[in-house]
Amino acid sequence: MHKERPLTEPRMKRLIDRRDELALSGQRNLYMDSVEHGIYQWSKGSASFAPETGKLAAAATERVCLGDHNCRVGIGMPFPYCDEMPSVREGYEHAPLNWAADYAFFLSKLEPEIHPGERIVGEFHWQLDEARAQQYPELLDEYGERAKGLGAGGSCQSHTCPDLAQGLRRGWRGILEKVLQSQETWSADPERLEYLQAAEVSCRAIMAYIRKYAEKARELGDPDLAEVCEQVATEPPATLREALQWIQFYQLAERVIAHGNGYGRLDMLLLPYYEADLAAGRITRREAIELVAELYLKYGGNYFSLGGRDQTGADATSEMSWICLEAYDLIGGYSCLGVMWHPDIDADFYQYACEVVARHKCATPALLNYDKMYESEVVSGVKPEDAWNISYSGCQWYCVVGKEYCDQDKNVIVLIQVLLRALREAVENPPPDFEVFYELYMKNVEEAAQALLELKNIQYHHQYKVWPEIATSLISEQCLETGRDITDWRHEGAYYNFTSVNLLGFTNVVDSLLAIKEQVYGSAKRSLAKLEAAVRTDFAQAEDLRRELLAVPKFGSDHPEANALAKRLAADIAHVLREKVNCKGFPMRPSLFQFMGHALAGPYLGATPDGRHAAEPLAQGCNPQHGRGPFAITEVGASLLALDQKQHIGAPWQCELDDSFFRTCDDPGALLEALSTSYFESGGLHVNFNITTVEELEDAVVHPEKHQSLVVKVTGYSAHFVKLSSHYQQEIIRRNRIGT
Amino acid sequence: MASASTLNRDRPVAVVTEIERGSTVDGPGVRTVVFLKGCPLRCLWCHNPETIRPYPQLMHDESLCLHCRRCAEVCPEEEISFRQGEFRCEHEKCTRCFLCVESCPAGALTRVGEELSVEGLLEMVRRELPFIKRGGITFSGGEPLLQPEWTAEAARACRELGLHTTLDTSLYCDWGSLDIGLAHYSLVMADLKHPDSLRHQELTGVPNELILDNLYRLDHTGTPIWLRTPLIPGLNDDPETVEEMLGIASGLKHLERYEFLPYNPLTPEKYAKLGVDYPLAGHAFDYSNREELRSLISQSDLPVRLIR
Ligand code: SF4
Ligand code: SF4
Repeated sequence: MHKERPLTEPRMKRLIDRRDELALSGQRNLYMDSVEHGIYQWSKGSASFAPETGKLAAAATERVCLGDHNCRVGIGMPFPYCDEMPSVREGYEHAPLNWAADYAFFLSKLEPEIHPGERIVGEFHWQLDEARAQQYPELLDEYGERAKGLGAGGSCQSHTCPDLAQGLRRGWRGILEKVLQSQETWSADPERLEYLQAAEVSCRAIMAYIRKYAEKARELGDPDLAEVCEQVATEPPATLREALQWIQFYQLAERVIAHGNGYGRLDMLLLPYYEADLAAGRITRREAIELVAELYLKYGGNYFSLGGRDQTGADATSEMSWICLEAYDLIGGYSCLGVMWHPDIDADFYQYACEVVARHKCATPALLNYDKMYESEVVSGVKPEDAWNISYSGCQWYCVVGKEYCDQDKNVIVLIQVLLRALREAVENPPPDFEVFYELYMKNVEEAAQALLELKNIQYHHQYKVWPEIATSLISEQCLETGRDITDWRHEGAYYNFTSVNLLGFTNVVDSLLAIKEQVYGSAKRSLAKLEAAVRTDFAQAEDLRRELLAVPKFGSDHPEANALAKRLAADIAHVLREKVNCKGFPMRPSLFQFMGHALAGPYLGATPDGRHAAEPLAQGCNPQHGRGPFAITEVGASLLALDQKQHIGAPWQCELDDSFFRTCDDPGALLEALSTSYFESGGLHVNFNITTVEELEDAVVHPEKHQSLVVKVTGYSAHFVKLSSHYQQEIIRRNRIGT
Repeated sequence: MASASTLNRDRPVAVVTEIERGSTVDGPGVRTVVFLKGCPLRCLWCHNPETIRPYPQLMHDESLCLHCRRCAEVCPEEEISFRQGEFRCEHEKCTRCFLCVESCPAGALTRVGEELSVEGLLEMVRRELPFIKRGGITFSGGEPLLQPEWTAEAARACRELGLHTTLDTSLYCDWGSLDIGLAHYSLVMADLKHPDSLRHQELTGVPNELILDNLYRLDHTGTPIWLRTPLIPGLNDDPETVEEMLGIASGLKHLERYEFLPYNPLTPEKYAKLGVDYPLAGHAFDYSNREELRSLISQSDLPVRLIR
């Protein structure tokens, strides 16, 4: 047991302070273009998050801040060499080599930065999308608008996990050799050859970028650091420090292209290096903890996972799992680690993980059920021999390391918009009973899903040319062998190419459908037209009706009817999506979560038949709607367990606990352990425990200066509360808190 | 002591105010709490006035009421009226037919108090088992020992499911009511409200000799005990009184924990829902000695907890 929190020595303290300064000064902020982008995860002309500077940057009045969720460290000015980008000088093309020339030029202009006391280095100030347009051909807008009209949207971005084990094993020289070999193999295939040339340009650019750090370290009189950087610029790492430095540079090379991935199973990746260092007497345990902590501090909120099972099915927890978690415990704050529980996990380690959650109070680590993740991947169609190597990869997502390009993160069906459409249609042509109404709703879901599929397919036909993910492809299975990008629609890059789809407003639709069932088709026999009018006018003249709608049982109360309807709806939507096969030959699959739209969509789309006013946020994922209840923790847990969670790729329980939940409890970690273990044993997939009080949050809105260190799990990520836009602050304040 | 239990040999049922799920403040871990209805005490500060009467009662929540008057239409006794638009019910004359509850479209009227068989309880417990198997079940009230056979039988059955069982009692009962279930309670939680019997009577309506006798006798049986004292400003929170209660506690061999609980005045609504008055309305709540109490309590050698 490693219970006590280690003291922080001055060097580490300085590095922690710097991390916090960067976050609190807004230099780590992440933005999206507009409210609309937050809901549909797509907007005209915007293929990604908002570039922070440059021609495509959104107006400051339009963009919405997601908090300090960026790896980029802003310095308040645009990239100085935009006009010298090869695509500006020589012409812009949607082509991998054209993209790679920009990427290489861009990296060549990034100055190495080393801060006093750092042993793991590397940061950057701009992303490529600030200098090169990440834009799809205009014809896609038509598909996007059509999908939006039907309640769907999406852009291509992935919380996938490149195979860092492969990269660490080969080193950059080995990776380059593989690229060159493959060029020989494909010398007669111009398209693949071009891609492999782009890969070569990118690979060399990354190596040159790392070498600049070696030179800089030498200049600064840090020969140890210079040697580490020199080594990892070409060779595979040999020590833990080199491995961590390799990972940091890799993350930068990837993250600089403008979005984040998960980076896999950190404890498994690092264990061999730590063991070798120990055997050679090169390292102490404490040094290992600090080095790992430095990796976390440099990146911001990396998505790494710990625990889980190995290839034989045995517990994968090791001494390195402890070190990785103790490293977080040492620095606390903003991070996105996940611990993958299973019945055979080292019980002491899991207990420690829960203690860490209780101590830092911001749902770090996220707690996940490895066996359920595995099952859900197998349900999607992943082969069991691949599925063992799943990793939590961000928000609610997980994937098979190195083998999956799952287009996760930003595709959505806006379920409440679909419901409002169905309601209008029903007024025109009233269904005789609830079953017919339900079918009408599902027909609308199907239409939205079809429109989304069409949008995705056309995006996929362009993605690999518009914005290839070469850094990711360099260390993912097959891409170099086949000469195809991991995003390529011909799916010779990744083995698995699902389209994962967020469901926004799931709980509101369950509650609304039950309200319609009882109030329209039950004994009250209200007219659909009146209900529709009341909803359309935000219940302006219909407060009594709204109260009656609120009195209908709600999801989260463990009411049998609400549970049954939720289960049915989730299964039916899953079925609709899985029937839709994308142009890569893989089905769409549902996720009961959407990480940004729930706080924004309310006023945009209006009130809903569950009695929710337009101004109120939507429920977050499959969690109960704000302000319903109060529900007991086990009522909420049991409600979520009514869903067949393996049918979804992610269904996180965002469990908000008030401090008072622990008021008579001597060991909050043990309580969280008992709760999460119970939940997992009964089929739960994922739980995030935030521990806050409303008073604290409300005070932080008024006096942010007093709550600088307050970190919360926002949705799938953690951030400093005071850096969030007011949409998110208010949404978090309104969540159902257990224990008040 | 008279038992208000509606126990019947073939199908024993208890009157239960509420079953609370997922409690973390009524014994160790995550628990289901069964609040049995009926209480022999009348604590001035009672937080749960709906648990005092041993029979089902009508509750009305003005904040949810639509003033649609459907309830008044169905009431056979014509006990519901609306004065200045506000709902009124003559609770003394209400026959507890609960027709009005069924008629209410807004959930403003509720019946508090349901009959529950042990089998009915077990059905719920079995569903909740995954969450409470590491915590347990607590029988609270009201006073669960006003329905002693039911409580004992329910505890026995829950223990059979492998659950940790806690009895939360005032100990104001004949020894037999406690004794018949003693083998089935993993833990007994009892209140110390005031050390002085006369003052106890003033504050709770009953003297404390019987309670203390039962407490010592319970300790002799080796049952683990948790004590709890709600600190009510001006009524039992002066340092001398607290020290005396600590003295009583120090005489117990099987005391595992002694919790001092904070007390916040209630809003009048809770009592208003039942149509009764809050005895401490207008009482001056003075918390100025909290620091002194904190240091006094923390100096004790006992396993004390001062709950915030
Ligand atoms: S029926 Fe319910 S809502 Fe209507 S007046 Fe009576 S208590 Fe109020
Ligand atoms: S319970 Fe029956 S008697 Fe009492 S107020 Fe309601 S309808 Fe009238």
